[in-house]
Amino acid sequence: MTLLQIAEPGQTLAPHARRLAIGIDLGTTNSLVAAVIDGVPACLPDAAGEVILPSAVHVAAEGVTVGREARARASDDPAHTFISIKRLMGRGMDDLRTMRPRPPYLFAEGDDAVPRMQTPRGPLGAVEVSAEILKPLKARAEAALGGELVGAVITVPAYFDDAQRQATRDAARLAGLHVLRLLNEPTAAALAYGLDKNAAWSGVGSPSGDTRRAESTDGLRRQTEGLIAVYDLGGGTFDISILRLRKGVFEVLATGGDTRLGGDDFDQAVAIWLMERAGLDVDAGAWLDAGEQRHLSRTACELKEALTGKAQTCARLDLRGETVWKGCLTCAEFNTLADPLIARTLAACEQALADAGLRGADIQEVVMVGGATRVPRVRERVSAFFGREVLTDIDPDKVVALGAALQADVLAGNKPADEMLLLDVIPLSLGLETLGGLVERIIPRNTTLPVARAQEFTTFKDGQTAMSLHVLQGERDTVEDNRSLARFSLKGIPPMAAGAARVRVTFQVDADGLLTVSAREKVSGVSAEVQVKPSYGLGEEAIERMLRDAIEHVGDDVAARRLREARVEGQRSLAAIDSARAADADLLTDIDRPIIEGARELLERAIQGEDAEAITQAVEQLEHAALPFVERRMNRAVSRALAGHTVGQVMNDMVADLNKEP
Amino acid sequence: MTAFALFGLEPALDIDDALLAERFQRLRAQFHPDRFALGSALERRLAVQRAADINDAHATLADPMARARLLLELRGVSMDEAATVQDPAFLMRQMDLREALDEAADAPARERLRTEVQGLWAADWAALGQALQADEAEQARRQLQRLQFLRRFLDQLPRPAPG
Repeated sequence: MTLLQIAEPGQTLAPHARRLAIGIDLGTTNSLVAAVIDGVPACLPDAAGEVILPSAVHVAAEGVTVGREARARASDDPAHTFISIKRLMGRGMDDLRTMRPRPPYLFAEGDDAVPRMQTPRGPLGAVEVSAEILKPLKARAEAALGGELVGAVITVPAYFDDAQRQATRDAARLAGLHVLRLLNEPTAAALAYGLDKNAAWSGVGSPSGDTRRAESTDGLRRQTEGLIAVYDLGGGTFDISILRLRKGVFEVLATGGDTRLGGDDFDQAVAIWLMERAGLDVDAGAWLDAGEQRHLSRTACELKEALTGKAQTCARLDLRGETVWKGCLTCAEFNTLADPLIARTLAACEQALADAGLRGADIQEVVMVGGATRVPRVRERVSAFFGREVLTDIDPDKVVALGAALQADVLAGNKPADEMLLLDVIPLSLGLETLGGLVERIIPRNTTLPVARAQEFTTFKDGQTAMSLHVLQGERDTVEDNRSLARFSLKGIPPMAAGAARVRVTFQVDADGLLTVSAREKVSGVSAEVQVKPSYGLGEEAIERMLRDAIEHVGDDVAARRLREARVEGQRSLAAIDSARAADADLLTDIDRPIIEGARELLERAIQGEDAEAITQAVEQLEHAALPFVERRMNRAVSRALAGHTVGQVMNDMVADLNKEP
Repeated sequence: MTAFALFGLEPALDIDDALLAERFQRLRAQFHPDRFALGSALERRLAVQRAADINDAHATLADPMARARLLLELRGVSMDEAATVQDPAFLMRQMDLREALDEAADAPARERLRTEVQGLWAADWAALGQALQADEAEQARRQLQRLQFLRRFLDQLPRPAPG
């Protein structure tokens, strides 16, 4: 495999050396894939020239279809046509019961934490369905770019919690994609607009074919610092993010939103209005079967879209071969339906501004993202809220994928490293259950990522050797009002008097917003065993099983794929250690040297073998052996940075060392 | 590694805010996990850890109270212990201030009170610095408790309506 090469500052790699990386917008309604080609991000079309892939999956005994063809089956085979599956990501059965409209699927008996839907090809979860959407996007990218991908940046709503993010990552893995980063959608949009800089990203061009953009952002481009709001109303989710931009640094100050509010809800409001007009009992909506429900939703959606730019629009609603309603929806009527929903988004904007310590007037630009921001009433109300015209120049359907492609290009090492930095925050507070069903906050929302916080616990009984902890995410004070993320059992605490043990539990959230927990008993020095039982996630075994059961495994041998992946990771480790040894040989001690050498040879041999598990183990051994050395190098890098080397120099030294070919 | 050491700063009560900001920029750019997207699993893990440490250290150093607490901790004095300092003079002052707050009916009166408390804060801050310099841990702890009260008092003081 080709390992990374060194990029000098300000110089990009020769075309043949470019690593192929893509950005994917995995949306509720539509999904897109984009890549940077010749310095310009572009959405990649399918064979028919369409860039938008409807996020619909139809599962039949004879095969799986994705996209337009699948969406067309929504009304005639609703139980096996999965649309808006994103709403189910990371959700448990309890969530689904309260979801409106109720998903028209038959859920298989079994695990309530990870619901699975019945299909002619066996039970499928939201992760597997999402993986089906990702697969054709991956294939499309490989065909368009002509090679193997080093990885993908996948976007998620900023307000996604840990379970939803983990589910997204799992789906990508299932689709055979290496996730370089989960990127928040609003941050991706800000990136695509290139609002942070003068002209360096001017290559963004005008993907919508709209030339106003260059003029409208010209003012901001001359500035080096700006405060912007990204208002992202997608099909099923709403996000608001407040960012500070300066010279390539995109710093999220606050984020807020609602993962259960989107364009679908506008359709739903129109659907209810339609039913009332048609004299159908809304509460007894149950007499409509799933297919008729979907037909109703579709009619409502078409009505909404047709209304854009008009005073009124007329249509008719047919059910069971009968016209049940014929009439018109006026703009004023629609606005009355939309206003309560828009008001909810504005309340979230208010909160995000308060969290950032800002007022509406401080915001210099408001970027609109998501198909639902095409609704004129939304634009009007958001403009009024912030007291300025909103930016809508880049196609709101494409802007997120384009931003993700830009970030993927940087992460793949095709751009000098110090050109761009994205600093995100955790959208929802993390806490632990305490006595009386209350939640103690450990990491407050809007803390910059990555973050690690430790908390000490003690035993309350003599001789207690285990302790269980319950991790929650949310802003409420009581356990039942927050999302249960995981339960941990700390075992192997040495028996001591009550209160004598000191168990230090560390919560770490990485740049993707994903949590890991570790624990150690301090008095005895014993590392307590941590058992992770994600309440809504998938364990490693579940992923393995899904990979095996992958519903479409034509030409994709799971064992072969695992071996390939293990080898890639093994090569990466070898390359990293070799260049580190070359760069900082003086930091090696007589103790390190032979241990690292031994572990290195072991790994080299394992890579030549056929056993993926052996390779993975050898990688772990090498990393364990090299840990003290690598930590010394990190410390040296800190002192270098502090000694006045520019970020560019140090970063290039570091990254080049880490990545260069052995 | 202490927060001060991570930022290459001498442990001190007063630090150069501009220097702190500049080093924070530099360090977090360097150790952001995105810089290691294609690195080995170990490097990615260490980068996340280091980046988290940098963020945490910055939060401590940027907040004067947290910075002061850290300085005391470095001298083996924990502020978590609930042991209240017997300080009758300061208790008296607390009561006076609360009374003054009740009496400050309008915005100008509250602003006068704010200015006054800020003055007290500055004096106690200087005293804390002296106590640390003289290595008088108990005195330093008492000063820090006074400062904590004054900080809370200032935070609770209603701000004039914006605009």
